[in-house]
Amino acid sequence: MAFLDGLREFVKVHLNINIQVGVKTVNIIADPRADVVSFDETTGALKINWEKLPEDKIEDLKPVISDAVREHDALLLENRSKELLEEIKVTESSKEEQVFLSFFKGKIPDDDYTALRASLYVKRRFEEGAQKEEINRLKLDILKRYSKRGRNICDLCSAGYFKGLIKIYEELQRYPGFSNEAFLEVYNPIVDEGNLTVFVSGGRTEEQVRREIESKMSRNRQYGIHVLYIHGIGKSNIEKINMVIYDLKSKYSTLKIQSSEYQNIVSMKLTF
Amino acid sequence: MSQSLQEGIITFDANLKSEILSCFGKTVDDSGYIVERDDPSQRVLTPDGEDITLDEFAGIRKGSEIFIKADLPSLIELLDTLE
Repeated sequence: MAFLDGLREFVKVHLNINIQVGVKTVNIIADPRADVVSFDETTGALKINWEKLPEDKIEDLKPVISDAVREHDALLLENRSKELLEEIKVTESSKEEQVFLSFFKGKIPDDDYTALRASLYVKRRFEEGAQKEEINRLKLDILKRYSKRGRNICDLCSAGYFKGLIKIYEELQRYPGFSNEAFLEVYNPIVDEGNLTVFVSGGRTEEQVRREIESKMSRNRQYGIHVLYIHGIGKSNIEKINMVIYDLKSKYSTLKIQSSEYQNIVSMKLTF
Repeated sequence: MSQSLQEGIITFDANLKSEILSCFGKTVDDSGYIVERDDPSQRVLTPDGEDITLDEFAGIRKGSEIFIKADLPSLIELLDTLE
């Protein structure tokens, strides 16, 4: 790449260091303990230490850097962001994530799709045991860009609800005249509601569902929220939800239920 | 991805952000926003039309001058441009 030659030439002309082997990467550092220039012949990594450069050499280096971007299409990136970029790439390169993401690509709005990719990275860092501070910072990135909907996508992704959404899509697809809009009619309220949602998919007992609903009702009530949405897919889950709701109605006399069923998918709004 | 992330990238230490910006005729105003050195009233913009502070600054790529924020969604979008 031409800009690498430019930087090698800078080092040769201005610092009298002749690098014979090809330069592959360039890192501009600020390290009072390091040499002005270091080059690793094995990796081709060239480090230029800004702190050790005399003022006149800095002025000579500046146009070399700006030309690298403006004329030679180089990307200039701060080290930590470069690391994060590589970590995102690793997250998305696993077969499981590729299959998961490719399912949603084009089916949900573009902004939601990017928020989902970001959420997957947050989920991975959480599972790797990242500090709470880092998780909160990453979540804030999503919230700042995509507002409440982005935060909901992150929470739903962490809770595994997006896998349930795949099942919803596949269920809807079985019916004639299916279109993506039919999926979005189910999907949009779920990502808008976020934490106010209980999603019932296979593999959960009636007791587990009941506990989650009661726990979220209790939490919501504590914060002055008197509503909870329940979504479920498939005959057995719908029956499970109906049984739980039947019990809850006798336990909470003020509980009001609005229910709609559409092609094997049930949506309920509980007001309490 | 057509090229590895190593290729075509110049990296820099976080504490050199101001110096790197100076290569492009930019500086930072009293509020922490990146501005044109010759016209400090003009803040630089990201492709989304947002102002960008020194803290948020992650880098620059070609396309006139495209300023990149260091947040997660911005870096995901950057990754797509490298593919």
